[in-house]
Amino acid sequence: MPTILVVEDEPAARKFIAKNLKVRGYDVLEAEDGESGLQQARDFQPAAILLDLKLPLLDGWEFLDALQVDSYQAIVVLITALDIETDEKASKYPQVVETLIKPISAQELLNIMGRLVPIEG
Amino acid sequence: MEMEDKVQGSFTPNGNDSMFDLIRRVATTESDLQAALAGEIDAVIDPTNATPMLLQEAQETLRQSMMQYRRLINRVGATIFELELDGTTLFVNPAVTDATGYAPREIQGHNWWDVFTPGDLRAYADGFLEAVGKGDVTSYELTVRGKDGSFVFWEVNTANHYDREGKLLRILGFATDATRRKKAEEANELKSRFLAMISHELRTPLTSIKGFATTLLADEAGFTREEEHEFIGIISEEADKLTALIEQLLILTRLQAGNFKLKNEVLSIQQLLDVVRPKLDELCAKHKLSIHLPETPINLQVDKQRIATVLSNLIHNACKYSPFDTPITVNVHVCDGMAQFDITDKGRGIKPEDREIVFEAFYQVTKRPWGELHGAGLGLAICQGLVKAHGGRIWVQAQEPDSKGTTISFSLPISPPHS
Repeated sequence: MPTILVVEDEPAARKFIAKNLKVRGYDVLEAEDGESGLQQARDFQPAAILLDLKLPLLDGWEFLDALQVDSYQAIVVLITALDIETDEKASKYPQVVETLIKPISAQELLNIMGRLVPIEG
Repeated sequence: MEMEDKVQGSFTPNGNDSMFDLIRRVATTESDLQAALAGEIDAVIDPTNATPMLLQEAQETLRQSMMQYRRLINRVGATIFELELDGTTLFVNPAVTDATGYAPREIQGHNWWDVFTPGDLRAYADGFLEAVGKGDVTSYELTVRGKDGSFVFWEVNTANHYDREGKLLRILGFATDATRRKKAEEANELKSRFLAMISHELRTPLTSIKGFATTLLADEAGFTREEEHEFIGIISEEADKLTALIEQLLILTRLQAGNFKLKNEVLSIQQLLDVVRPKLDELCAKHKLSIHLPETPINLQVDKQRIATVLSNLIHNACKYSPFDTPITVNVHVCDGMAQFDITDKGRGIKPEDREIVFEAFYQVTKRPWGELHGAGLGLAICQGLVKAHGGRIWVQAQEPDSKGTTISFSLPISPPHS
């Protein structure tokens, strides 16, 4: 099963994403801050990372900067409540393939993840 | 002709063109005329070139012109000043008093920069002088200190005196007070941040509500009954968070507008703590709360629900920023005729420079735009508003540099025993 890492500091939002992905058959890793998220990304090299931008310890952009120096290339989907300037900034990171603006629906989340990381491949 | 019209327009506001008439009559060559129009009047009024009558007329016109300028300079709203390069003030107009509180005589003959940019403000003066060294400045933002110690933000333009080789001789400056504009800009900036913050704070619970509601709607998912129940519980909790945030905003708005109604009653500190104790114990479930009261009973005249809010907000903060199992103490005592509550924790502490501004609404936004945010940053602003509405005050205690933790204190007026 493909693994997806969810880096999101809001417990309820993280749970919503993780629950929906798990019930569809993904293996899900969860991180509540940028630092532990980065550690898990390096240790487990998930197929995709769902990344909140506003995070404690290491924010989403710093997370992406740190990830860029790694040889491991993940697919990153940003989940953000901050829509100002995000797209322009995100375009500098080739790993970022999608940006989801909060609030997001379960369908939206599953459609995008299903397209980017198909379960049966 | 076009140029002449333009210059006349600015030099003779009353339509009196005698000055230019005169210049045309004494200027014998085209280059003199150009020089005259460019302002070098001295250069073209050559006594050897003029009849006595013309000279007398010239003197009178110049005198009138001088007086006209003097009246203008004395009444204009902008501060006009002339400085030697070493900072000695040759001239400053009365507008400086409105802008800074200093009378012209307190400045003239003194070093301009010693007066306006003392101590650590000197860097502002150096920055300005460096810019002027390169030529006249336009809309240069200069921060100076007024007589009462407050900051004045000046927007300065210069039309300096240079010698014929272009070497700077003296500084001639025009300063308009940009303080109001600067404050408006800051307020605007704060408003933008406030809106960004509020939309983020509102969106966070909405994300979970929308997320779990759509999760439950997707009927093919196959969640268990227990899971579905849990999701509904989260939706309800997040809706409560939204309600609490809106409530906080309403309280703060009313406090700031000064029309917050208190339901005051006389009660003892013990009675007040009986009201708030269960909530405090709940907040301190993972910390060690201890409360110390004075031996003699003290009565307060307060809105007990509102003071309960203040205490629980402060205890909530203390818990949030302190490691588990550390002590949190509430010490109530009488100080300067007021009942003083000290709330002490062993948490990360508040930086000395932040002691005042933590009470500003959305202080967290201005300090740490993307960093570790906890809540909307309204709690302490509300505490301050409520304590002030009771006639008390709230502050962060100064601390030894190395000591850990924070003490926030607030005071409330003591009610006479028989009221």
